Amino acid sequence: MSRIKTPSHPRTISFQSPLLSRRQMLSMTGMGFGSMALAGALQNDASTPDDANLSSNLNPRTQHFPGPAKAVIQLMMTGGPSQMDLFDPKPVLQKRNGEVYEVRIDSFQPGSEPNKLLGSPFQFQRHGECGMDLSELLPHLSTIVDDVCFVRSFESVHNNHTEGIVNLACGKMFIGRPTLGAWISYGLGTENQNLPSFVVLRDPNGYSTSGGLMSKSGWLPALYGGTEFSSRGDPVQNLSPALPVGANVRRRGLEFLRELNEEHRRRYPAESELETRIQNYELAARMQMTATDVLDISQETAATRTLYGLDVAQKENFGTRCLMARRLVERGVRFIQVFASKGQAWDHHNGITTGLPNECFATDQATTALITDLKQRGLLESTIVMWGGEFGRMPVAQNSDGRDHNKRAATCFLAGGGFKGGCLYGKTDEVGYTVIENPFTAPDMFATIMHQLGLDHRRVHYKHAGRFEDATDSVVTGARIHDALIDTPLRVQST
Amino acid sequence: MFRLRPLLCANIAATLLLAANVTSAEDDDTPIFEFDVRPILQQHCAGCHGSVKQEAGFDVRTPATLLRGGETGPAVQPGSIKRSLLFELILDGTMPPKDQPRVSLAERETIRRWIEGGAPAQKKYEAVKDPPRPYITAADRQHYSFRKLLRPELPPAPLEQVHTSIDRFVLARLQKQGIGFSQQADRQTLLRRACFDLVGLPPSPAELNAYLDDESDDAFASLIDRLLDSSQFGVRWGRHWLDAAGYVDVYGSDENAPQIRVPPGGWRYRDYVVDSFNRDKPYDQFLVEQIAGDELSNWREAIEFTPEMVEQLVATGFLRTAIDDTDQDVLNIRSNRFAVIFDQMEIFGTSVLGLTLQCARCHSHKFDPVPARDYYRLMANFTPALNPDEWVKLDQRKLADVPATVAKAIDAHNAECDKRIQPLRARLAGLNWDANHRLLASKLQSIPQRDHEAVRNAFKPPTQQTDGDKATLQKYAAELAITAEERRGVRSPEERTEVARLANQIGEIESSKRPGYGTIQAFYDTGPPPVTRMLSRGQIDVPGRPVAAGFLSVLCDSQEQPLAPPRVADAKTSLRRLAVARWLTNPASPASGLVARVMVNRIWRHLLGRGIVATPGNLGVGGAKPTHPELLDWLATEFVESGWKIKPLIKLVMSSTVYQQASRGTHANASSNPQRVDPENHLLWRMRLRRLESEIVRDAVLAVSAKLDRTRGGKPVPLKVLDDGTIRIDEGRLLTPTSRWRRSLYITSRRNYHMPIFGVFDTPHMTTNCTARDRSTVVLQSLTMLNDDFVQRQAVFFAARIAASAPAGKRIELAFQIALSRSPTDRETELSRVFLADQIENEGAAGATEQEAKQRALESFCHMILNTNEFLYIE
Repeated sequence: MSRIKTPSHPRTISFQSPLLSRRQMLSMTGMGFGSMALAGALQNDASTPDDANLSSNLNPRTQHFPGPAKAVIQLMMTGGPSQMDLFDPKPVLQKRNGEVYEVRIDSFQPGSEPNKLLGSPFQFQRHGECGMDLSELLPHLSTIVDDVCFVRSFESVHNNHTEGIVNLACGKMFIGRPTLGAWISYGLGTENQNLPSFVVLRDPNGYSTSGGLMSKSGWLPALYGGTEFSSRGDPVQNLSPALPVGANVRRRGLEFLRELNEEHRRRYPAESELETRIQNYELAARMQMTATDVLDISQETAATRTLYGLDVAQKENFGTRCLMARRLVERGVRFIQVFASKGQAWDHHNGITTGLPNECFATDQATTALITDLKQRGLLESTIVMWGGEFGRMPVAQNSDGRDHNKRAATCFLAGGGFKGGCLYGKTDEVGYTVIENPFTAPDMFATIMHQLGLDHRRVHYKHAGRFEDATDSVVTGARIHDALIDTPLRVQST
Repeated sequence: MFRLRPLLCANIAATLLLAANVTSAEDDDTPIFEFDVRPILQQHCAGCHGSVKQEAGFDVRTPATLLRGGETGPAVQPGSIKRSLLFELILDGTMPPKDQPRVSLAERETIRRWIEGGAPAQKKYEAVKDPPRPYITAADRQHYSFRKLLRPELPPAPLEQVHTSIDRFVLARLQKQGIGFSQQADRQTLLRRACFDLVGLPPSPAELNAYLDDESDDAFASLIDRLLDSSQFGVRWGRHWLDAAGYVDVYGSDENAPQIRVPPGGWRYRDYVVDSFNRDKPYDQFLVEQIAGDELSNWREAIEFTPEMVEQLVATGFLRTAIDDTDQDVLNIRSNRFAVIFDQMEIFGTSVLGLTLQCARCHSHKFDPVPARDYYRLMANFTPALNPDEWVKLDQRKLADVPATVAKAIDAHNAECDKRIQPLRARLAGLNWDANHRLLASKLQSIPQRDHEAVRNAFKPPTQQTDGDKATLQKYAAELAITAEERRGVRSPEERTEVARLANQIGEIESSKRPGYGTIQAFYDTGPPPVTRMLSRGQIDVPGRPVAAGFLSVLCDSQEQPLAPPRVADAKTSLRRLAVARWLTNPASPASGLVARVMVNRIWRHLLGRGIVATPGNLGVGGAKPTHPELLDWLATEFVESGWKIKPLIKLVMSSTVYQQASRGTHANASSNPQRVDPENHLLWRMRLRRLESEIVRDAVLAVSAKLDRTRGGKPVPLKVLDDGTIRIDEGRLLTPTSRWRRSLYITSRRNYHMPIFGVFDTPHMTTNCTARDRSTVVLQSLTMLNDDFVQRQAVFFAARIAASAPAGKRIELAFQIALSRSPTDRETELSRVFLADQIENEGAAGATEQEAKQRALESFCHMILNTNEFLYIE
C-alpha cells in the first residue's frame, strides 16, 4: 500500500491564524517570550516503519490511504437506548403485546420472568427518501434521515454496563486496552498542537457509568488518552490558578521560570524532553487562551444557540456540549467524546413511557443540530458523528413497563465522514431480540471508522507485552470493514 | 523443611494398542477412516492441521495422529464422542473457524458414527506416543534468561576507572565502541541522586552541609548506609514492588468515580512490603511468603496466631491484586471467576518470572517455550484457592488475624454482652421518654398554638414515629430540644437512682467486651484441590483434558518433571503453591536463575533508569535483548550467592563508577563522540536523566515546604470526589490533622481515578499490574505545577519556611539549597534578585502593602523554583 501524504487540513489553527494574531495572543496571555509557533514540532512523522511503534508525540501523521474523514464525534448514550421504541419497529411485537413469548429470553436482571412481549407505546412513521422508520420520540432526527446511516444490527458482548461500555470503548470487553479515541490519536496525531487530540465532554453534574474507562489510553502512552474539558467552570482541570495570581505577576513568573530552565537546559543540550517541557509552559499559557476561547459559546449567534436548543432548560445541558464539540472540530481536535448525561440515563428497566421520552427530548434536537450545523459549514464530509449506547434492550417487559439489557441487538447510527446518508443496514428478528442479518460488532465499527479516517486498523499497532497489538485485535475479534455503510469502499481489503 | 520429589509424570499416555479397528469391522455400517472420514477432514481441517502446517500441534491426516491429538489433548477417543474433542469442537461450532465453510450435518453424522463405531481404519494403526515431539527443545533452554546461572568471568579493565566488578562489564562494552565513562558527578548531585533513589526525598539543607563537610573517602559509602537504614527506604522501594504486584488500596474494577471501596485490612499487605524492604528480608523468603505464606504454618488448627503466622498470611495479599467484582451477584459468573484466575497468573508471570504467560492460555506461546499445557499445569497451583466451581466471593475471601475459633468466641461473647445490654437500654429509653413527656408542655410554649395538636400527636418514641411525625418534629427541632439536665430536673429521686443504676450496668457490660480483631485479605486454599482442565483456545466452556499441578517445563530440569507438593501428613492445604515457591527460590533450579535475573534487572532499572533488559516484565524471547547479558548474569549470581539480600546489591550498584557518572556526559578524553556512537545511551557512557515518579513529585514538594508527615503504615488516607470530578484528599475524615501531608504511598491508591498531581505524572491505571511506568511530558503537568491548589499552597508554606529561617540576604541561596540541593550560580542569584524586585513592584502596583508585596514576591519565587525542570529530575 503506498503511503499518501495527508492533504493539509483547512481547519488547522496555527498562530498565524486570522482568528488570533500573534500580537493579540501575547497581549492576552501575557507571554512575552519564546518561539510561539511549534513549527519544528509540527513536522509530519512519516518515516516510521511498519514494524515499530510510532514515536510518542501528537504530530500529524500520514494516513495509510486517503480517507474522507478527519475527526470523530462520539455521542455516548450510556445505559442502552431501546431500539424497538426508537429505530426498529416490530409489528409482531405490537400485535402480540402482552403475550408470553415462546422463545425464552435470556434476561440479565430480575423482573422479566413472565417473558411477556411488550409492544412499543410509541408511533412510528417513515421519513425521507430512504424511508427510515423512526419513532415519534425523535421528531428532529426524522428531518435529516437522508444524511444518516442507520445500523440496526449492532451486537454487544455482555449484558452488564461496564463490560458493554468497555467493549464499545476498546473493541473488547477487557479493561486495559486502548480506547478508540486513543488509537486514532496514536495513528493520526492531531492538527492543533494548542489543544489535546482527544477531548472528553461529560455532564458537568457527574460522571456517566464507567465513563472514565471510555477515554483511557490503556497501554498506549498517556498522551493519547482523553483530556476532560468541562462545559461548566474551568474548561480544563487546573487551567487557571486555584489561588489568584495577578496577570503581571504570572507573566513575570513565567519569564523567570524560562530563564532558570534555559540555564539548566544548557547543561543538557541533547535532552529533548527538557525542551518539550519548556515549550509546554508556553503551551499551557496558550491553552488557557485557546481552550477558554473554544468553549466560549457566548460567541455563537442566537440562531445557532436556538438550533441546539440552548434556550430550553432540559436541552441546554447536552446541547451545550454538542455545540462545544462542533467548535472543537473546527479547531482541529481529532476525537471528541460527548456523554449524554451522568449515570446511565438510557437504562430504562421501567418507565419506558416516561423515562425514554424525557431522554429523547433532552438529546434529539442537539444531536440533529450538530449534524445539520456541521453540514451547513461544510464539515460533515470530514467529520464522523457516531451515536449509540453499549447495548440494546429486550422485547419482553421488565417490571411491567421496562426492558432489560440486551447484548444481542441494538441500533446505532453514523453520519458524515463518508458514511452513506439514508443507509438502512442490518436486520433483527421479528421481535428485535437478536440480529439476523449483517451483525455489526464494536471491532467492526472501529475498523470501518478507521478506514474512513484513512487508517488500516490492522496496521495501527503497538508493541505491548512482547507482541504487536493492533487496534481491533483483528486476529481474535475478526474485525472487518462493512463496505455497505460507506460511500467509496475498498481502499483496503476487508479480509 | 519440605523436599521436592521429582516424579515421573504419570500422565504420559501409554502406547495404546488398538484392537478397535478389528472388532468393529463386523459392523458393516460403520464408516472407515480412509474412505469416509479422511475426505471430510481433508476438506475442512487439513488446511491448518495437515501436511503444510499442524496448528496447535494437531494433524488430521492419520487416525494415529487423531488419537494423539494436539496441545489440548487427544482428539479422538474411539467409542466415545463425549471424550472426543474433534467431535465436540465441530459440534459447538468452534471448528472450523467462523470464516470457513461449516461441516454439514451429514458429514458430522459420519464422524459421529465413525468414532462411536470404534474409529476403524483399513490399515492397522496405533496411537503415537505422547508427546509426539519435545515440547521444549534444548535450544529453548538456551535463551539467556532460562539458562542456569553461572558466574561469568570478569573482563579485564583499567583499574583507575573501576570501582566495582560491575564497571568492568560496562567499560568493556564501551571500549569496544571506542568510548569510556563520563566524569564523576559532583558531590551535591550525587547526594541528591542517592537521596531520591533510596528514600524518595531530597536532602535537607543540614544533610547537604554535613555531607559536603565530610571529606573522608568513605563519605558516599556511609551516606548510602545511612539512607538504606532509614525507615523511609521501605516507603520508596515498597512502591516499586507494589507496582509489580499490581497493589492498589481499593477492590473491584474501580470503574465508578464516586464509589471508593477500601477492603478492611487490605493495607496490611502494603505495610508488609514496606517492612520487608526495611528489614532487608531476603528475596527468596519474601517470595515464598507472598506465594505460599498460608502454607508455611498450620494456622487453621492453631490455638493462637504467632506474629510470624500473621505476617505470612498478610504476605499472601500479593495474590489478591487482580480485579475481582464477584461480590456483586450479577458479576459472580464463571467467566469473571476465570478472569480473576487469569489476571492473577498474568501478574504473577510478569512480576516474578518476567514472562507474558497469558499468551499460552489460548495456544502455545508464540515466542516463549511455554506450551498451553504448562500454563494449565501452573494454573492448577492456584485453583485450590480460586476454585471456579466452589467460588468464594470477593467479600468473603478474608481471614481474621486470630484463629477462627477465637474470632468466633469473641463474636459470641460480644453478642452476648449486647444481648444483655439491650433490655437495659430499652428501660433507660423508656425512662427518658417519660421525662420528655413531662417536659413537653413547657416546650410547647415556644411553638405557635396552631401546631400544638400536631406536635403532641407526633411526639412519640422514635420507633413509633411515622414520616409525617418526623417531619413535624423536625420543623420544631430547636424548640423541642431536651437536655439530660432538664430530664433530671423532672425525675423523682427513685427514678434518678434507677437511671444511674442502669447507666452503671451498661457501662460495666460494655467494658467486659473483648477487644475485636483485624482482617487479613489473604490468599489460601478454600477447599480440596479441584480437577483442573485445559481450556480449548482459552474458552472456559470448552474444557479439555485434566492436567496435574506443575510448573513451566522450560524451567524444570526435565520436561516431564512435575512439581510434587511436599508430603505432609494431614495437611489442610494442597501445598502446591509452596512447591512452586520453593522451586523458584531453590538455587539449584533453573527457575531461580530467571527469578534472580528478573529482580536484579528491576533493581538496576530503579537505579539507572532503564533495565539491562528494557522490558522488565518480559525477559522472554519476545522481550528486549539485554544490553549487558554477562553483567545481568553476574549480578544475579551475586544476588543469589549473597543470600538474596537486596540492600547490599543496591549498595554495590551505587558504589560503581557507572552509577556515579555525571548525567551531563562530560567526556574527559574520549577518542570518539559518544553522543554519535550511542545517542540513546544504551551502553551507559553517562548517567541517565530521570524524571521523578508522580508520588515522589508530591513527596518532594512536601519535603521542601517542610509539611511532610513521615508517619508510616495504617489505613490509607481517604479521598473524595468533587462535583467536577476532581479527586482530592477528604480532609473531613482525616485521622490526624497532618495526615493530609503524609507520604504519597499512604494516600488511597485507586485503579482508575487519581488526584491531579498523580494522574498527570503517570500514576498507572492499574488494570493488572505495572512493570514499567510511563514517563510522559504533557502540558497538563505544567498546568498542574502552575495552578493546582496543592502546589500553590505548598509554595506559600515553602516561602514561609524560608522567611522564618534566613535573613533577607540569604533567602535565595536557602531556597535553592532546599529545593534543588545546591547553591545558586552567580547568574541565578542575579536573576532571582531582579525577579524578586520586579515582583515586589508588581504586587505593590496591584495595591499590596510593602510587607505583603515582599511576602508575595517570595511566594512567587518559591512557586517558580518548584516549577523548574531541575526540580522534577534526578540528575
